[in-house]
Amino acid sequence: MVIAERNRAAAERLTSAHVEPPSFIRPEAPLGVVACGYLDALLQGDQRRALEVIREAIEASTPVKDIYVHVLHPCQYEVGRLWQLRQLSTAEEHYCTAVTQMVLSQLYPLIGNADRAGRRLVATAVDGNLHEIGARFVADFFEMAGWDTFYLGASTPAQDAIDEAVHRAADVLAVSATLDDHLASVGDLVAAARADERCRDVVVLVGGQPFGVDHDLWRQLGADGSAPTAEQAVRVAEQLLAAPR
Amino acid sequence: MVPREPRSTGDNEERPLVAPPARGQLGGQAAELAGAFLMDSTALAVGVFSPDGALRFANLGMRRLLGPAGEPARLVNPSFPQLAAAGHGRGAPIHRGILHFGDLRSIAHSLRGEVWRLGDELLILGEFDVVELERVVVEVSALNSRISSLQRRLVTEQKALKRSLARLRATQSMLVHSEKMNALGKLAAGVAHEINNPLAFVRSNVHTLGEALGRLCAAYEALEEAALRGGPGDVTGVAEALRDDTDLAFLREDAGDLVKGTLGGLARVQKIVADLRTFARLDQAEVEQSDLRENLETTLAIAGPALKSGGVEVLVEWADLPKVRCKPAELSQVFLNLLINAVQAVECRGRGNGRVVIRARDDGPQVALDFEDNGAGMTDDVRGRIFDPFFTTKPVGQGTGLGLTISHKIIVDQHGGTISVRSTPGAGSTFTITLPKELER
Ligand code: B12
Ligand SMILES: Nc1ncnc2c1ncn2[C@@H]1O[C@H](COP(=O)(O)OP(=O)(O)OP(=O)(O)O)[C@@H](O)[C@H]1O
Ligand SMILES: [Mg+2]
Repeated sequence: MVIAERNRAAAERLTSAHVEPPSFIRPEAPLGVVACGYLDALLQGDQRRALEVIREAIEASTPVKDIYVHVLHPCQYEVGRLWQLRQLSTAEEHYCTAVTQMVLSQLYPLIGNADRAGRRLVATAVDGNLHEIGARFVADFFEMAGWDTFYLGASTPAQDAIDEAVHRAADVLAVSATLDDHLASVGDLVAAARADERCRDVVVLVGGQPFGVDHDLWRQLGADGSAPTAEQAVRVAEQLLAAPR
Repeated sequence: MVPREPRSTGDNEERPLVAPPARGQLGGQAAELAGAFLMDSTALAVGVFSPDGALRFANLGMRRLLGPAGEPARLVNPSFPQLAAAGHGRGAPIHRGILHFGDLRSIAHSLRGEVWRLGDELLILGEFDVVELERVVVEVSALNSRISSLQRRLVTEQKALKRSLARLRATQSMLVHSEKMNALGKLAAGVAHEINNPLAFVRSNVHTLGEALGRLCAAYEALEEAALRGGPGDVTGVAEALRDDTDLAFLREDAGDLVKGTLGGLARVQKIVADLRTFARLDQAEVEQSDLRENLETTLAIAGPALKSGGVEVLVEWADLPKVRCKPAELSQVFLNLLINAVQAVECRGRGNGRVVIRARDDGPQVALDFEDNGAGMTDDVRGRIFDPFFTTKPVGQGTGLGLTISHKIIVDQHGGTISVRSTPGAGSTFTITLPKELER
């Protein structure tokens, strides 16, 4: 609910020329200080310090999950906001994202030591979507829940994603969209998956920023479910798999 | 930044970037603003030069490419001398295509562009190929995705390997223990026999003692009756008759022997049980200052019945050895494995012809133990594989092929020693163990 409101507000701000959208980073938020430190290092172009900030948080026993939710996620959104306000160049935005991806790959070995759930997930950004961090969040949160996950990355053609889901005997195929432009691709992928006999039992989850604006979108596109965050997606998937179909 | 439609390069190739402006297209304030924007642009480069390369006018983009003022302009290809020699072009650019800027130290820049000769000036116009750049972003993004998923796969596989390693370790320690039990199992028949023997005579002794006790009780009752009923004379008579009847002298002597024999038999059983317990001990990891001889003797005591029933002669040639820091329970397992292998190897000689010699030597910083047999020996091929897990030449059900694997692990990994073998097919084999006197850790 809150998220929907925020998104609606964000959409309004995007269309009005003068209102500057507020920062996604607040020092008083959970791990706010870590997020500030990390963002600051990113904006200074200091990759070493950025990695150091994360390392220190990990050493202070901060759960990896919390770093995803309270540091990386808001910082990426903040980078996008500053870029939109032209306070960051495209090159600077690329740099920040590259560092965040490096953090993700350094955190990855620390996650997924949970007992294996015996479930399998294939996660990908939909064809045309170059934003891959959302899908990676999804893959990583399922991994943390003990799933075996296969992450395909940015802009995967529908057929490749479906083939991979079949090949990996996936229980769930998670598809990420970022711009409204990507929604047609999502619809195509869901339709292709439904038409494929081999995917009969695969649960198709869709998500990403457009789905936070219109809560019924996933249903209209024919998917099995959606969630506002990667973390909540795990619960939705487990409920869908537990329910008799 | 508002997403912009990338300009397509295809149909741009033939058209000069700067065509004479169509009348009425841009003018007034719009033209002024556009001009100012152009001056500040870095994606587009506009510059006017004299033919020798001296700069007369440049927007921000061109200045960035040329490098610091006062240094030679960094236009590499085409070079200013080439451009000066190119003539005038007559209403068309004198060069169209890629412009390379850079020097040995800076990043090179390649722009799409053209050069015009206008009077005695060179007009250089360039733009970064945005379509190309966007394609690069896509390519890099795809590569990036591939690297990420590869890295994730690697980590996942690493974790799976770690998990199976942990499982293997658990299985291994289970195997080590079950192999020990297996070795013991091979001795079970002999051990049972060894326990049964004393048990049988203890039983018969107790039976005999029971009978004797019955007779003594009857004699006592007869005496008591005589004492109550008759006078003292009667008692003496009865007592004498009873002494002869019950053969008291024999009874006293015999009962003593029976009790001694029974206690001896029970002690033997107790010793066997104690040996078995030492051997099967699970708290094997303990390091102790231990007497190898005692250790070997316990093992021989356990293996004794099996050796006896196979008619195998065992000779022990023992030198004076210091105590050795080791894990005794583990070592006795090695000794037993070697003994059982030797007994199995000498079977082919027939009953009464098998011989096993155990020699212990003080060898400076280490002690050495030989287990020599006159058994079947082994070919080089077999000898090369005996320490492999599950390698056995014995019939199914007799050998698991783990005895030497585990012995190797105990001697080499746990004690920092060595285990080696010499063998001649048809003549016999000698296994040699060396153990450092001080267990390092
Ligand atoms: C980094 C970035 C890029 C990078 C991406 C690089 C990469 N390797 O990923 C590059 C440079 C490629 C890029 C390109 C573009 N970008 Co961009 N980009 C961003 C930025 C700054 C960060 C994205 C990110 O990492 N987010 C972090 C993740 C964790 O968030 P998320 O994806 O939303 O995921 C969360 C949820 O949505 C959910 N979720 C996501 N997927 C799924 C899937 C399922 C199944 C479920 C259940 C849940 C779920 O879970 C996550 C939280 O747990 C955003 C800013 C922003 N607000 O997102 C802009 C942003 C998304 N980009 C934007 C734009 C406009 C573009 C371009 C069109 C710009 C251009 N003209 O080139 C292109 C389009 C490219 C394309 N074809 O997709 C705009 C979009 C505006 C809009 N709403 O339409 C944004 C919002 C920036 C802005 N403020 O204006 N971008
Ligand atoms: N003293 C020996 N003489 C000849 N061959 C031997 C001797 N000791 C071992 N071997 C050979 O080495 C093989 C492996 O021995 P190892 O003790 O590891 O396994 P095993 O005796 O076959 O089975 P188990 O696991 O029950 O001990 C034997 O099968 C045998 O071929
Ligand atoms: Mg053996």
